[in-house]
Amino acid sequence: MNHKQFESWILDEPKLSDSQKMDLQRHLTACTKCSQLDTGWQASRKLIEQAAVKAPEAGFSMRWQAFAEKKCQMKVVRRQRITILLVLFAVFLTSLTYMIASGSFLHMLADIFTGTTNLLFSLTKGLTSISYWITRLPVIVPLTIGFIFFGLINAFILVGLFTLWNIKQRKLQTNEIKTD
Amino acid sequence: MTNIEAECLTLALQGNQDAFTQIVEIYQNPVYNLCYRMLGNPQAAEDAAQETFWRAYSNLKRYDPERSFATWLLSIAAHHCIDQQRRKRLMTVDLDEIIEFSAEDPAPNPERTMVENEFSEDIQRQLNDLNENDRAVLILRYFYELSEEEICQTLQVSKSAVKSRLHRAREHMADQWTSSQESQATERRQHESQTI
Repeated sequence: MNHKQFESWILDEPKLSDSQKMDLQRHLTACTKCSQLDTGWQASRKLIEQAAVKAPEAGFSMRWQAFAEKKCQMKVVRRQRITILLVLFAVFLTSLTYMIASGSFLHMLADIFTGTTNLLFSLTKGLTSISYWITRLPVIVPLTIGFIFFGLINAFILVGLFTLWNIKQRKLQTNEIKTD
Repeated sequence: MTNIEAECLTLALQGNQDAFTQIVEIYQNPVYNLCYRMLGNPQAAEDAAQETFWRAYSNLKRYDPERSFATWLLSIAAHHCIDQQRRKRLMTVDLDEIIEFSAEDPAPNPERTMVENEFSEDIQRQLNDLNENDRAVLILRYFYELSEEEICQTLQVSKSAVKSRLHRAREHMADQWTSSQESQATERRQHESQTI
């Protein structure tokens, strides 16, 4: 009989015949690995059997009622939000249908396109005049501005990272307090 | 299921929350115990047990009266705890957090309580080291004495999966017990050599 078979007899807990039990006992006296496995599992099983059934602290059902009440309220709020969203979507769809059907939608699209183009044009013009003035300034001025911008960006990144780290620390502290 | 439980269930199915609270009262211990054994922390177990009862209450219409109500509840609790464990693992939270914390047991004899807690702590430490799927199978098998078929139904997995998970869990438990014994023996030897 191979070693795997004995392992399976120990761990799968099948119903063994008397001769199989004898075989197993004989193998356990000879094989240290299987003997350790058997002792380990039997001890663990005993620990499980001796472990007390854990019960919640008194007043669990009352706490559950409060929990259920809260969940019900949340359900109502969620339902209200969904209703509002659906109404808004319906209003949007109706107005869109009306605009397309009446032709005003195309006019609106054309207006948006013209407006955006004008805005881009003005921006480009403005930027060109700024760059003209920058080239006329001494080199130190654009360099300083560049450094300030670079510093500000780095400061923002650092502040962001610090905030994230702080939130994580607070969360850990809250968890520690909870578990204490 | 007793007549009172069946009556409470019928009333709860009609939307009576008080009747369901009676059910909570009846099943709070097995559900809490499962959550505690799965999560290893009293606060997390309390939250998971509350959530389990809420899920059961809101999905009561889906309950099949042919099945055992207790098994159905345990199934919800086990799935919820497995999800919690997976989420926890994804969030890479320190696993040391879920090691046993002293939960007070309402036992009259303090000595007995101490011994029980010691056993409980040992077993909880071993359970915490198991993979959540293997842990669920082992808990249902030995704490709730469910058969392999019942575990299949509870966890909605195949019989071969239950068998292999049980095999793996028992092997892991045995290995852990052996290594803990070895480390204790080493500590004892070190302590003895220091005292000499």
